[in-house]
Amino acid sequence: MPGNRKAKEFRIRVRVPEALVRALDSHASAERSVPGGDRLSRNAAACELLARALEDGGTRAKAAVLGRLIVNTVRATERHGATTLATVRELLAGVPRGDLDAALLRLERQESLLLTQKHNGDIVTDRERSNALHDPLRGELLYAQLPATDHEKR
Amino acid sequence: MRRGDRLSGVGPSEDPSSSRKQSLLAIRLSPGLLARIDELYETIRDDVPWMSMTRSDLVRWILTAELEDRGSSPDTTP
Repeated sequence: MPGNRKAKEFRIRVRVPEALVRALDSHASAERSVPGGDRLSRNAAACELLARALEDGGTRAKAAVLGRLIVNTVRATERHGATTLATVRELLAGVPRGDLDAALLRLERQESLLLTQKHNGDIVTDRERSNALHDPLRGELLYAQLPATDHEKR
Repeated sequence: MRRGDRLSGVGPSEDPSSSRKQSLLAIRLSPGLLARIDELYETIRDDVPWMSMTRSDLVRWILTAELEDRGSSPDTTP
């Protein structure tokens, strides 16, 4: 019964940029093009995206959130476009080191961050060395750097 | 900086994109989906306890990431 179904639903209000609403509507329209299918409502499109993101137990969604957290942490703590991985690790201390390292490398592949050994001739201390990320080709990576365009446009 | 200190500009509530034109999106969630969102929310709160984040913020981040993944970029990055 529709009445019963409605009673079991929970309503949540989310403040979002208008661009996200447009992208959501575009996604809903794309789903409509499935042969024989009706156009998804905005609500159904949002629920479908959330369900897909969480279908693996939330691993992928958590990785996406962690990526955003790391980028925002670097942006909030950077000096001349970079911050030390030591700072990132200290601020995100509750995140398992393996998860954090994997997220950092993923962000670099996505070109959201650049991981480097050096930055502007900064003096490297034990704190930085002990929080380095080891890369087999590049050695010890100590800094997370914002992409040039991201840094320059601010 | 000590771990207990707040750091501005990191949490989703303080997302720089929040200065753009905004809308209020109402979503009706099934109990199962709500439970999964809550579970992830609690995990993140445990991992990053100092961050100011609401369940709505988390939903916004997930939607943004999913749309970006599918190439429908909501262009919410600053």
